[in-house]
Amino acid sequence: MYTLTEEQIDYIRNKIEIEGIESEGLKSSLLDHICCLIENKFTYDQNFESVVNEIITQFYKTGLRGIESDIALLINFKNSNVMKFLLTLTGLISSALFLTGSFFKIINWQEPATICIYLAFIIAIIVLLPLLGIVKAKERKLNSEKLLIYCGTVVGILYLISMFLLLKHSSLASELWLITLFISLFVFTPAFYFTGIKKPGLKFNTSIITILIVVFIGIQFSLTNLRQKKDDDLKLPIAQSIKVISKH
Amino acid sequence: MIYSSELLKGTLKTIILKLLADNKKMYGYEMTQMVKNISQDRIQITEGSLYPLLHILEREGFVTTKNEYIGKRLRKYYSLSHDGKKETKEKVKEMTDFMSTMAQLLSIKIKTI
Repeated sequence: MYTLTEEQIDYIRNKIEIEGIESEGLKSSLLDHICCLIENKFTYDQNFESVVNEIITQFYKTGLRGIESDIALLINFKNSNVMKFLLTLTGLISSALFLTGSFFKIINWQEPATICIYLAFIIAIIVLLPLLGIVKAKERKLNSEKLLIYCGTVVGILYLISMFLLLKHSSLASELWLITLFISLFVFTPAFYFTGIKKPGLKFNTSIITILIVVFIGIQFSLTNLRQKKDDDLKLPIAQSIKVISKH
Repeated sequence: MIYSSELLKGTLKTIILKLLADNKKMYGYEMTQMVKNISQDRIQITEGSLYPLLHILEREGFVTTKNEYIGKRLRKYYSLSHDGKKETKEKVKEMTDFMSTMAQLLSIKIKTI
């Protein structure tokens, strides 16, 4: 069995560092592994440096850095699995709370209904949508696609916050609602359309989904802003007639 | 005959866990050599697949590690944790079931080496 000198061990250690391994744990494991291989297989008539190079090439096709990249990939894969599980769980909890809250509202059980609906909104705004954005963005490779997903997530969060404020009859609700509509119509929709239309297989789907988004925004706008205006217009003549009646 | 990496995919975790269950503590090089010897050179674990797996097993809490200095270099010994022992039992059982299903599917009798 061959015994390595301290200089030879340092040479291997340097070689591992040059290869770009950052993790100290992996560095020492690889150093020990390479040393063991040399001690058991190296003969005195061989050239030490070429044997080390040969061993490193056998470890991983693209160099030792590939091992570290594989570890990072595996960790990311495990993390994304945990995230997907959390996403499903929070999605289920949020939907269940929305349904239960609505049911309580129907049977006029006001307080539990409010608690359930508020909780559902909070979970969806703080956990569900941001997590959905992160998971979906991780699945995309292009930065433009990632940006589009983040933009969609922001629109979704703003939409839910404005709905939540509307439910609380907050004065900020209509302003936030208009901002949400503006971003959806003038930022998200064009970005979605121009990202999707470039892909040959997605042209038709992108056009249809874009039309549906615009229709949805239009319906939401007419249901909230236009309806609110109409209600205000109706309130004014009624108030005037009450004044006239009271004068008489 | 060396088995193809495609055939070995998915079996590595079970192999390493079982090795650690049969031996109190082991280090990376020792594992590759033991697999090579037991399988009579038919299974050769590459370092590129061994170390990422050991890292993940450690992260998941299935193995614990202990460092020992061998002269100027550090050697990392791996041993099974309590969860690791349970996981090994499950993995070995799963593999046994899988092998008997494959034997049925291919109408073969499994020989012991």
